[in-house]
Amino acid sequence: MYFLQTIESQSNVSMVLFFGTLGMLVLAIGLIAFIVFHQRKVIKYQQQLQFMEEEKQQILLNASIRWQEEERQRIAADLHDDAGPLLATARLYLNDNLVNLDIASQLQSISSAKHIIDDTIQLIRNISHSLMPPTLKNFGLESAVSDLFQKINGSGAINASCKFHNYKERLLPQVELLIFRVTQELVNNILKHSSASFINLSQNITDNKFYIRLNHDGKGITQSDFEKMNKSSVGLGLKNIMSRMKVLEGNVNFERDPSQTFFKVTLEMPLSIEPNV
Amino acid sequence: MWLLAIYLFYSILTDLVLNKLSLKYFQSEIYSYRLFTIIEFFLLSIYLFKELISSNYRTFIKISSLIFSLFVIFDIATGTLNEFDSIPTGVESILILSSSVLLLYERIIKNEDYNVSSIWISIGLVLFFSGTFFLFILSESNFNNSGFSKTYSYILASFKIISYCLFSVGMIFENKLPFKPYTQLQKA
Repeated sequence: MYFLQTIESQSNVSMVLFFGTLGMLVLAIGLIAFIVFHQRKVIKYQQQLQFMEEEKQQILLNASIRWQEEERQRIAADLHDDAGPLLATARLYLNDNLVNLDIASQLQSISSAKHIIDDTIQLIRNISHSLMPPTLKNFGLESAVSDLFQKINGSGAINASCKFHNYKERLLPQVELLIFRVTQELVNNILKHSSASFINLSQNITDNKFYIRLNHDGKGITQSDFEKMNKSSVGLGLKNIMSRMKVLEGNVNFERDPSQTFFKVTLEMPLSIEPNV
Repeated sequence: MWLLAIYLFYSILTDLVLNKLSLKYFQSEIYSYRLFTIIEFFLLSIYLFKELISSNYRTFIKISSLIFSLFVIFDIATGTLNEFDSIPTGVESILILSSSVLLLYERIIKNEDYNVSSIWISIGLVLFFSGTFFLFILSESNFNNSGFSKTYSYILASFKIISYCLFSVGMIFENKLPFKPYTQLQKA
């Protein structure tokens, strides 16, 4: 600044003024252009992120629709293939000709029809229980998960245990159902694919967050495998887990224990959640 | 926005009235210029401070106000009052220029389009202070040169017209379209 102030010659002053002003203007316009260019780049990046997020949502939505369709098909098949023939058989026993039969045959037919109707009631109850486990509805998540693990343990094929450390107050019914479904899906995957000799489930609450951790010693997946499968068209069950965890505003984390001996799956979700389901 | 309106009003008042009063009562327009530099800096600093969201950028404005105040005190203490205040004006230009670039960056990054007043106002400030920086720096030693005075008036008037036009565009946008942060667009 001092140097500039001491320029004496008129032509030098004009030169410095001209080039200085021009230089400053070029710099300023360049700077503005750079900021605008940078902004375009940032917006493009944000849009790309948004697009990826939308694509992910679409995959989850498709998975959810496919799962619903498969569930409907399963219920339809159960009703059509099992309940339908049973009721048709019961109807045969109770046909119009029944009144013309002797008392013993009538009683025999009625008894057979009664047995078949009882079987049908049991079948429909099983279907209903698979949709909404009564233990979960009446006694809560802890009892339903314990029930599930007892059944698995009862098969003798695998050693299954579960422990709820901090579950004094029940969560909302729809939250419990979502957590139960996720747990059920994870346990099913372990039973189907891992060849594990044990499964252990533990529950805890820390810092207003609800945690469920599953450990098993079979073949498992890590978080990167999970993310890869989530982006691909395979792994419907995992996509369902992801979409349910999204409803719960929670996370699922797949990892291998540092000792490399077993795999861990951690479900983490906030306690104060009211999912819109 | 009213700060900018006061600044524009004061600028016009200086050009039309205060310069003449200064010339009449103190035999020099310099006193009016000196007062204008100080008031201009603080009005624009308050405007920029109010517009900026980032706390770091706001801290920069606070620090720059302190630096400017020190330079003004130093200039008054060491210089003669009837000379053009090139050092405070130069420092003012650099500080307002930097703050305007920060405001421009902050606003432009958070908006998809340019219909936001502060974007246009900050561009106006950047162009005005970058265009007149050398002019103010050279003024102290050349102010009494009649040729330079003429150039000074032309350059200053040109940049004033450019910046006031940009301020006007900014003022139109203020009422027409609200500030729309990009983060809200993402949520939508």
